[in-house]
Amino acid sequence: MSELSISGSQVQLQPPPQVQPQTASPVVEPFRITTNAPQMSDVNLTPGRRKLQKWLGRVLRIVITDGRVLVGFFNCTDRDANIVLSMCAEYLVEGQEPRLLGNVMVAKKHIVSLNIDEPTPSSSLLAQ
Amino acid sequence: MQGITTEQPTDFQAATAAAAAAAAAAAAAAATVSAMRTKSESRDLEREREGNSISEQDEWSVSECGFNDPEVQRAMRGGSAAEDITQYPIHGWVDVTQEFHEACAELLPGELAQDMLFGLFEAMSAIEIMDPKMDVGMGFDKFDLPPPSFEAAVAMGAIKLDALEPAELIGVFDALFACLVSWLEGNSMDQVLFTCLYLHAPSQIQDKALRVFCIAVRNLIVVIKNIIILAAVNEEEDFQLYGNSALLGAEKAQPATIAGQLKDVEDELVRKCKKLPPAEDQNLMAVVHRLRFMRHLFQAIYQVELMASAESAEEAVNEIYKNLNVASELLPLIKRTIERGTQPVEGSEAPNPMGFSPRIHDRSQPPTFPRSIKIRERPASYQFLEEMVARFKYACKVIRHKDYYSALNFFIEYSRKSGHCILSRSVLQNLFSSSIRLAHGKQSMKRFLRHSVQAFNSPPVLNLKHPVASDPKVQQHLETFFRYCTNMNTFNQFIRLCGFNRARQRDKLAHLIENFDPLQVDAVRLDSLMNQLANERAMEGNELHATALKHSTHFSTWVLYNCFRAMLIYLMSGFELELYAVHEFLYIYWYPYEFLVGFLVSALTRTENILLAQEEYAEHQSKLQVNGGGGGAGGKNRKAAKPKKNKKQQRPYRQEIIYYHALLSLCGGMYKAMGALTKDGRVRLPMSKFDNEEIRYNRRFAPFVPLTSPPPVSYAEFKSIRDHMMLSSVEELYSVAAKHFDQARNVLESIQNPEQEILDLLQIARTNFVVMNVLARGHQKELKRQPEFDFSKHTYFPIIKLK
Repeated sequence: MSELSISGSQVQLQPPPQVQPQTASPVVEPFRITTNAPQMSDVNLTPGRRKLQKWLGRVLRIVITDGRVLVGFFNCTDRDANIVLSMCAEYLVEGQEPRLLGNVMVAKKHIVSLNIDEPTPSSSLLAQ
Repeated sequence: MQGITTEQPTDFQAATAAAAAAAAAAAAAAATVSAMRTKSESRDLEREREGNSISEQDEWSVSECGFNDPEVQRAMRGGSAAEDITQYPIHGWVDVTQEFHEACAELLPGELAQDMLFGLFEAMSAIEIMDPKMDVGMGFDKFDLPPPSFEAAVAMGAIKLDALEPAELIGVFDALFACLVSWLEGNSMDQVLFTCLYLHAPSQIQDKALRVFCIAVRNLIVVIKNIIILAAVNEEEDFQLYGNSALLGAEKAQPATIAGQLKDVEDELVRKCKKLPPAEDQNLMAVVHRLRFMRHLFQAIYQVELMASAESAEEAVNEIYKNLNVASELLPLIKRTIERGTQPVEGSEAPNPMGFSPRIHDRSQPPTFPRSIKIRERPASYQFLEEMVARFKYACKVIRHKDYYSALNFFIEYSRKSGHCILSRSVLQNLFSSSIRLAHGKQSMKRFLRHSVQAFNSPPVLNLKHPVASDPKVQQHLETFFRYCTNMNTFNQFIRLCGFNRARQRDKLAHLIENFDPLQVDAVRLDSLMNQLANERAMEGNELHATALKHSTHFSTWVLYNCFRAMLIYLMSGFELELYAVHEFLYIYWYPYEFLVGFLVSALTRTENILLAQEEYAEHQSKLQVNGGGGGAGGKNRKAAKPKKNKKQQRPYRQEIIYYHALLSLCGGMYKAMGALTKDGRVRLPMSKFDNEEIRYNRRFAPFVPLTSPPPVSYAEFKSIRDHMMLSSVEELYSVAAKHFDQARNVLESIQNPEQEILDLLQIARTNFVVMNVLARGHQKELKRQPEFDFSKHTYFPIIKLK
């Protein structure tokens, strides 16, 4: 977990201003967290953050370098795209019996592709 | 939940256990939210949530309904997930790889995008995928064949069921012993023992020696598990109690028949041996030795399990000891013949080329399992078994310790020497007491404690020969007190606690110390009742009874003494576990120096004085009786028995008092030395901005706070005492510390026939004396480097080393 700086030790106390969201409060926040908690909803997020916020809590499918497929709820990520999934199922072969792993952390270097379970226009029509 | 359990084959029970537990939690949580929710409904809800994800209506309602507690929310969320994760995707996968990476790149270094329920717990419990220590799925390939099962291996001809060569038998046996040892060291049974396919279905093995040995191993597993469960001194880090019980359940355990079966095979093989030419029987004899070792080890362990129902504890322990003796004699023979067996293939995970399927259960393990398994090498395994048998033999000596004082000492000693092996610790617990109400076989705890107080400071009221013992009032009070002691379970708990691993002991001691408080109160009350009775009897003119009851502090001394010991062990165990920072040493050593060790010494001295006074009085009484002719029935008996006992009993705690004197000087030396080093600027202190010494101090002594006696010492008091000490110059402080160490040296040198511990302490005292003197003379005055504290000689006291 070393790359995921839970402790906040890697946080730059003074982030370069160009990366800061333009409309963010002028006070430098020592530890920024983007979350999907309703209390935290912030209309001034950058587009990328807003996307991440939308995806949080949804089901994410990760194909990793050795061919396994991990499906779990998207819980957390950081700048380096290290991802934490909860209630994760591990498929050696998709469609076959998975093994339930619980919380897993996937480092960026092992990620091959990412898929989110999301209604596309066509599938939402099917659902209705 | 149902979907999961029905779809999985039965032998994956272990895997589904975790899922089932989660599902159960889900069911419970679901019940609290809405009584009944069908699957389709829940899916509708899920869809609704998806639809509303931007406005977050659903989430709002959750928190508005008062489910703000993260635990509840987690259960709710986790719950629905346990049901559904395998049914995703609901909508269909949309590739977001590129988008995702771009979005992440917008985050600042260290910034997280996290789910509302994500916290440190989730972060810490996450398995790192592709980390070989955590990720068991790693290295599995979809093209790999599944690891062979017993049936598959037999069908393929990978394992022989009949006519095994002696070398093959030796190989399998040694590998199984190695697995057994690895299991006892805390690995999962499934991942070590049950990688041996022979253990899956021993009844199908035709080779008699192998069959019986495998049956014995299976029974041994059951027996060992029982012993460990019964002793209940295991923690999750010590031992994996749960394995795939379905594998064990397939064939019933019949531990009583094992020894006989093993004996039969042994005899058969010995006969076979005799027919062989002398040069060729070596391998076969090696097989026989292993079977015989198994038989005696099994018998010894099985008898430990049966201790609870044994008629006489002594006989049972003797029987165990005999078996252990034979077993330990066989081990050198076995170790010498290890290389006669088939050896594991270089680079293979299997402990033996035939009969093992190393990864067979990997995927059925719960995901949070420690799963990087390294099975011990064979010579190391036999080494472990040899030491274990020696520990068992040592544990048998507990039978000699008939009273609480010496039993506790034995347990503390044993824990120090054998604290790392769960089975050894459990065996000792079983040998001592089979249930929490019993000690030494069938003796009730109440009687044991009564006897123990008598052995400790021999209050006349407990001496059955003394007429005062039959006083109904006295009896009633005693009965109440001892019933309270056994109900509180504190004394018993102290002994049991010594069975836990060293790190857990500290935790549990903290609670134990708290429990001593009500006992102290009760003991003091008992003592004062005795004194009150003494006055009453004196008024009645019953001089003998009055004297026996007067000035009684027996019971409170006894309780206090045990409490002090628990406190000292608690405090000092922090050094062993490396919990204290160097700048904390000062007050940790200060407390025993200023209070605790002094209390212990005075409790023991008081006890000795009481004993002495009683003996003198008894002598005086008996002289009077001889002269006066009259007297109680017990008078004559005592006169005959006492003189001998007197000599031995004169100062029964002398050794221990001397030891504590030495400890006192060492603590004093360390306290002053730390003071001097701190004042000298040689101790690295934390930045005051990030540290509060008062909080540290209060945390360190927190378990002592609930006690009325000794009263807790506040930080302010400590501070003023330290400030006072710090008034002296650095040189003075160094020389005072040196003086303390010198004193300790003197005391330690006075001990005759010193044990290793005393010799080690002596070396510490000597070295530190020199170091302190050197520092007092101003050595390395300018170099404000923190000295090294080397605890390798003793867990309580370091050798101070200047770099």
